[in-house]
Amino acid sequence: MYPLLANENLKIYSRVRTWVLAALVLVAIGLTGWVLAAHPSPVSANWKASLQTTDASLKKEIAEDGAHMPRDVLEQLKSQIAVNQYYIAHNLEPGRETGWAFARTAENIVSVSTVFILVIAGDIVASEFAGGTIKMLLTQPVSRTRILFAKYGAALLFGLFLLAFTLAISLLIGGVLFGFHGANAPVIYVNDHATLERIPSFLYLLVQYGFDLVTMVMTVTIAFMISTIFRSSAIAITISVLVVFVGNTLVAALSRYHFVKYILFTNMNLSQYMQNGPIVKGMTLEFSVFMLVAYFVVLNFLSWLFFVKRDVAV
Amino acid sequence: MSITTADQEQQTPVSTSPIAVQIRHLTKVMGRKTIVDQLSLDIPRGEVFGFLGPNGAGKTTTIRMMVGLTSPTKGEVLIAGIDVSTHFAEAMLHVGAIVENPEMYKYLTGYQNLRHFARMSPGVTNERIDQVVRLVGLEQRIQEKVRTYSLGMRQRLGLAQALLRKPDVLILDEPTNGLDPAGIRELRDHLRTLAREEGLAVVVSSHLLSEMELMCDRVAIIQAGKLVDVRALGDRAGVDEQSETSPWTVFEVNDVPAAVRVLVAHFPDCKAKPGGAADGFVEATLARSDIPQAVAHLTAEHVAIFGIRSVTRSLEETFLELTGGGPIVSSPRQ
Ligand SMILES: Nc1ncnc2c1ncn2[C@@H]1O[C@H](COP(=O)(O)OP(=O)(O)OP(=O)(O)O)[C@@H](O)[C@H]1O
Ligand SMILES: [Mg+2]
Repeated sequence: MYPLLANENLKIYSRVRTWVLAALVLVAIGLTGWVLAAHPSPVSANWKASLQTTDASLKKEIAEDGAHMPRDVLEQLKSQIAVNQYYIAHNLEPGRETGWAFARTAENIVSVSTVFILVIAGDIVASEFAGGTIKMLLTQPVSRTRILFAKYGAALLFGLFLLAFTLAISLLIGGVLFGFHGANAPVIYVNDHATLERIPSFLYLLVQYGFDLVTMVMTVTIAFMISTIFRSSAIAITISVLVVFVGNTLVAALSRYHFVKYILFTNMNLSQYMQNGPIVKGMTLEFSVFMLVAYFVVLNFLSWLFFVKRDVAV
Repeated sequence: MSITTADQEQQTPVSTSPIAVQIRHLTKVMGRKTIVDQLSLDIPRGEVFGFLGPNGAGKTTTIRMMVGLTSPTKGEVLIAGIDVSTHFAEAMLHVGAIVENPEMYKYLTGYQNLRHFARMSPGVTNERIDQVVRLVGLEQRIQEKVRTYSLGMRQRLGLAQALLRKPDVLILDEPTNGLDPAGIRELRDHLRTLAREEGLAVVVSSHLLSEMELMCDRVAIIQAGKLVDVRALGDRAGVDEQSETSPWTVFEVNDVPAAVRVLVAHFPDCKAKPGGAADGFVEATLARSDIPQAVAHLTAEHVAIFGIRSVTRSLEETFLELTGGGPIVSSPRQ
């Protein structure tokens, strides 16, 4: 298997296009960093003192009324105090940019990376048909199934590469511009039960990228399936990008309809179960995982069917 | 494509059968069109075999089925005794092929392309790659991107690719397309050497009839997907005795209509007709042993004979005759 994967990697990474896409990701992150660095929030000299004051009053409130407060309000206040204490102890001014905070902001660039992953995965089979090289590729002593498998593996590896690249460049640029500290600075977010959660920055970032990884695998799978249908690279890429974007937009627009929960795109972003709550009411993590696995199996089966059973007449 | 015989140490083929390719009732139907119709052929080792037929005859479709790019509607192709449809990878171990144009990865160098295909076959070493590069005469340009290659150079690279794994069967669809005259000559010599000395079965298709005559030991004439005839081109002397069509005999006579009448009367199958460059000639297909009798009959009917000679038809004439003079392109496609 390895030689076939090496071949597919050779074909992806010896094209200038691949590196142009990676460079564009770098430019996008660099620009974001530059804009944020050029407009820093105003420095206040005595932010520690004012945090201390806030905490003191919060503690007083808890001491006086704590017994009568609803549980989650109490939790929220306690969480707020703990966060403030962390800021003071680590000499981190709230709202001041850090390398890790920047990497969290730059995580939005992953949507750009996704488009580029669509380009590569949508092209990987179609380009062989478009260039006529499929005739050479499929007259070697290797079964079509193994060739398809190598291509799918190479597309996934590229997705992994681009996500890792986005993360690494975000941290690097963030670190250079704003300092490498703040890995443990707490991030506060509203969880799917509408209560506040607090986790360290680095963990939050890793979890986000973990969700992005799941989305990436499904994105590659769709684009790959589309790639096995069309004989033109341009058409395969365009359709892949359209399907993913129209799909995501439609799902957001139609989320009040029950059937939407059976659409792939509704389930593709698992971060909804960590933050903000599910797109369609009543969806559970288990349901989404089940849907993803089902789509994964069906889409890959279709890719295989189109690729292995087809007459090559290029 | 200078030839160094030592370059091609062909391993003794696993299968001992002298038949390299067996095509059995091969049929391809697309929609309502039958593109290849009940084709059956045996191609032995050590022979250069040609597919000849007008545009759209089904040559490329047949080759596509031989290399597993297209699945037959009916029938089978056995390479070294292995069924291409059911044991594709094993069968392809014995095959090197170029189907239509030799399309390579343009953004890779020639060498990277060969490395790419070498990785897909077991046991192809870097030394082997260097060997085939020398064999096809691409040493000077092999490190350049294929984008910069001419059609003839791509054809050479394609041939190098096809030879990498030391195949038993070499299948080339229109291999001379894009080659210069020197290149065509080299290719021709090279293919014949491969067949004679390495015992390969070489299958080529071409639009250039004259070229087929120079290159092939036997040709299959295909028309509208059907096998019309298989002809041996015995030492390039044109038609030989085993051939199903007899040579033409031309008589120079004083009375052409009378001569035609007499010949048809005594030899109903002789297709006698006025012919030749000038007036006063009659041509007929007669077996060699019938000629004295024919002369006797003509003389008895008072037809004066001034001369007799035997004419062998070029493959082109025969081809046009067999295929009913259908259109054929006799120059390379662009
Ligand atoms: N994918 C296809 N769908 C429908 N018909 C096809 C297809 N491919 C080929 N044909 C038809 O099959 C016939 C044979 O085509 P093929 O390419 O095998 O001919 P050929 O002998 O190689 O011709 P040429 O000398 O022009 O190369 C043609 O009539 C062609 O139109
Ligand atoms: Mg053809």
